[in-house]
Amino acid sequence: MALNIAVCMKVAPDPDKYNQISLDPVTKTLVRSGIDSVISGTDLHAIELALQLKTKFGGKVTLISMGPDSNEKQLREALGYGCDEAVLLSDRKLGGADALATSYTLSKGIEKMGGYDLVLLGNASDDGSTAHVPSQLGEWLGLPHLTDVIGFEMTEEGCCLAKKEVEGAINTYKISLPAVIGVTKRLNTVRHPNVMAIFAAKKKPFTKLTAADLPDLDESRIGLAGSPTQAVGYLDADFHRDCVEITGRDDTEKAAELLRVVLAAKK
Amino acid sequence: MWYMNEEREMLQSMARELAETEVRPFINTMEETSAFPHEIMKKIGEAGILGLFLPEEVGGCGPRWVDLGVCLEELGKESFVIANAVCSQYAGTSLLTMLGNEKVNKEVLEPICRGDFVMATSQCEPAGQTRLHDHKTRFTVDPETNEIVLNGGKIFTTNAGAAEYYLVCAKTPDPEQFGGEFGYILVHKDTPGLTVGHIEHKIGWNGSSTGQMFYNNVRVPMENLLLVMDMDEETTYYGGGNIGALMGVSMLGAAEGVYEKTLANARSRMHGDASIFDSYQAMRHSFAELKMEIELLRGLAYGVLEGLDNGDADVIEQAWAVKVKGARIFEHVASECIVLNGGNGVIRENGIERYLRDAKLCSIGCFALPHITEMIANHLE
Ligand SMILES: Cc1cc2nc3c(=O)[nH]c(=O)nc-3n(C[C@H](O)[C@H](O)[C@@H](O)COP(=O)(O)OP(=O)(O)OC[C@H]3O[C@@H](n4cnc5c(N)ncnc54)[C@H](O)[C@@H]3O)c2cc1C
Ligand SMILES: Cc1cc2nc3c(=O)[nH]c(=O)nc-3n(C[C@H](O)[C@H](O)[C@H](O)COP(=O)(O)OP(=O)(O)OC[C@H]3O[C@@H](n4cnc5c(N)ncnc54)[C@H](O)[C@@H]3O)c2cc1C
Repeated sequence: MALNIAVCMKVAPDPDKYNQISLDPVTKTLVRSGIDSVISGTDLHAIELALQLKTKFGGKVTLISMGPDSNEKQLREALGYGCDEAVLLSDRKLGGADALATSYTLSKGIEKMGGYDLVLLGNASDDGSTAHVPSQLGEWLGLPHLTDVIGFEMTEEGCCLAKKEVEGAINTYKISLPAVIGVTKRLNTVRHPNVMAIFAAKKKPFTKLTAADLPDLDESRIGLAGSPTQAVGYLDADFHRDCVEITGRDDTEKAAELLRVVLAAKK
Repeated sequence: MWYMNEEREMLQSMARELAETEVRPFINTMEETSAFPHEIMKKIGEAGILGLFLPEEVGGCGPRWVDLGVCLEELGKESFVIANAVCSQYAGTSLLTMLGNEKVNKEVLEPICRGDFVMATSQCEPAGQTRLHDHKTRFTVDPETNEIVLNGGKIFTTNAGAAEYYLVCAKTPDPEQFGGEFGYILVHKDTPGLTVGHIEHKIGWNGSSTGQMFYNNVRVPMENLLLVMDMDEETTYYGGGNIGALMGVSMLGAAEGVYEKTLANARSRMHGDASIFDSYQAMRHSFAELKMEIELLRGLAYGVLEGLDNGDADVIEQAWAVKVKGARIFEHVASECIVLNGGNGVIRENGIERYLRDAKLCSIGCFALPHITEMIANHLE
């Protein structure tokens, strides 16, 4: 039962550098120049699951990412974990996409590549983190989908059993393939990349697709124009704290004063 | 850097991640108990780093010197001991890979490449590492069974008690009959007669086990006598340079590691409203001096590794120089960094002073500096 697996991989700003990201007050876009881009953390767990399944059942792991040409670097890095090939959906027309436009575009890329038994995603990206893309993608593709997955195995008849935590209990779902699965970081421990795979990464197939390459693409559904969600305003969080000195002749007086200040503040 | 490319950037970030996630949490245990890092070696093997010096036949892709250097430098930043554990595997296996012996490949080199176990090279004796002709360990051949019978003792064997196999240097009973004065014999750790003696308490390199080994009537099949050769200064001089270069690039990493930690501290430690880095020009100049030393070593180390990748036989003096200058620069940087950290620099828990203790050992372990200098002097034209 060889498995043909696609993993959707987002490239996001390095979480270690989040403190250097700011919002442009005029354009309301993120200012992230000089901040390294990395593979969105949860997607590494989707990659890990894909590689484990490939080791067990054979098959192929294809990475799919939507983003600028520079995403090639992180895709090659992911090939260094042992994935087989990478597809980059890159086009100016795709820029500014929200989760809906992103999931639509990814579904078109997946249709174009064709024939996947499993489509794996991180449950939520490190930056946008709406956690909308996995279910939306399942809907676009007309496939069963499950998110928040913390356990995964294949059954003998070729279905998968996926575990999901629901209000303190764990539900197990039996899902027929093909299916779309959003995984959490709890699912597994990510391996380190491997020297041999890093050397092989350069020679592995890498395909860049533009909007024109995608089958029956509805251009009103892609990019900024196809995005019903747009950031229109923002507020800077106010972390200002007041400092009040509690005085008194002894501890009893200070405690009474403290109580008075707290009660006054509550009003 | 001139030697970097996209692949090497990936190797670098892989090794860095390995160092930060696997090595860093284990350092306190190594410092306190001197436990050998078997699990870390397994991870390093799985990541393919040991394969960078081992050939394809045993699962590697080596030797790839600059690639290996990039990984050792990153591991060395966290822990010289871990980087050096990789170097010690190169030292042991470099003799074995030349043999093309299928049994050795399968039973010893393939598992080492995967990180399943480590080996040891057992050579130094009380007479003095360099006084090979005065060494006492020797073997005879049992005429009835045709077995090798090994007798003797060694000191300062790295990985004593931690290794699966010991490659023991012993005198042959008859140099003419055997075609040389010394034989290298492979002995499995469970062979009767092999005993691990005292494990030394060293100034540094905690986590690397250095100890005595005793071989009393150790019997192994004749096929375990893997290599016979005459050994003199020439064989050491021409055979040992590569390991010197690998240790040197590990020292580069370690020097950078302690430098970076110290710089981060200087930038965040406040004296009044400003950091000590911003407050005092004397501090900034000290960092600038150390940075120059580090970059000098980088140029030398990667120049040699690139030379080795290109098969340049002329790099032998430079290769030894990487070990000598590496040890000196590492020690100097580590020593200065203690000072630049103030009182915090001498506190064990802060992880600064261990770099100096590790640096000191680099002048001795695997060819002492005066010995190297002597060899270079003897080869001056
Ligand atoms: C701060 C911030 C706030 C945002 N807020 C919103 C918002 O409120 N509503 C909205 O619709 N959009 C929003 N976006 C935009 C949104 O993040 C991205 O435009 C969209 O590409 C994916 O949404 P997500 O990152 O939230 O995906 P999620 O649904 O959180 O991502 C889940 C998984 O989907 C896959 N995936 C997501 N993007 C890609 C990609 N480009 N290529 C390949 N795989 C991918 C990955 O496997 C990822 O782990 C926001 C972006 C930022 C940076
Ligand atoms: C931590 C550690 C790990 C080690 N690991 C191993 C190992 O795995 N396998 C192994 O076989 N050995 C190992 N050694 C031994 C190491 O190689 C020797 O300790 C080192 O070469 C010095 O030899 P010695 O101890 O016999 O010192 P001595 O011979 O007593 O040397 C004393 C001094 O004389 C100098 N000297 C000696 N010979 C010469 C010469 N020919 N020319 C110029 N100066 C000279 C030395 O440099 C030194 O400064 C290890 C040592 C240490 C400390």
